[in-house]
Amino acid sequence: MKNNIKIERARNNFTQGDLAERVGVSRQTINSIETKKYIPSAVLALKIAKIFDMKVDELFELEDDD
Amino acid sequence: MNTNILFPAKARFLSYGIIALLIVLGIVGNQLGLRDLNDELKSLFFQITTGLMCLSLFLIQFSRYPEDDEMLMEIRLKLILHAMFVGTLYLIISPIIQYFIFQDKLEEIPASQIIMFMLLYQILIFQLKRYSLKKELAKE
Repeated sequence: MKNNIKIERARNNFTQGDLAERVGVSRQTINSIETKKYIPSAVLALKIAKIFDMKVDELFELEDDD
Repeated sequence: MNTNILFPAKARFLSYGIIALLIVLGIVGNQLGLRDLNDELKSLFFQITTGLMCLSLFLIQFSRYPEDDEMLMEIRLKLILHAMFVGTLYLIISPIIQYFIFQDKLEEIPASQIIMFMLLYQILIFQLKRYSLKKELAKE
């Protein structure tokens, strides 16, 4: 699953640590999501989207192999 | 994600203490006269120590780390599934090795042995995973 978290993070001037703190997970988790090693739960995806004031499907995108 | 189902970090340190105590007891057991105990007491002693060992390993694997969140919970859950698979393989392969390679007589594998094996597997892989995640983060 593709995501634009890194781009949105840069646009909003957030570090991985800032975002992690805001959504209540570790920095490792944010890093793993950005590098597509971990697919977040629906709750976490909604929380991240809310931080960036976006819809979940604007932030996350399904790929062919999903 | 709610990680309250995990034990507090203190439980892990308590478990390290129990394991250290059991190892010391194993080393100095003969000097303390454990070999001279009758069979019933020996069996009781064995049951208690293996029970404590299983409990300690369980607490080590399921106690909270500061970075515990939904990703680590998912890793823990996947590891339980993998451990079931590895434990079943151990149950099948261990008697074959015992019989054909070491040419020992076949004996039933105690449940505590399999549980310990599965917990040790989970602890080892979980720590390796944690280490690799930290290493990856350091690269960023």
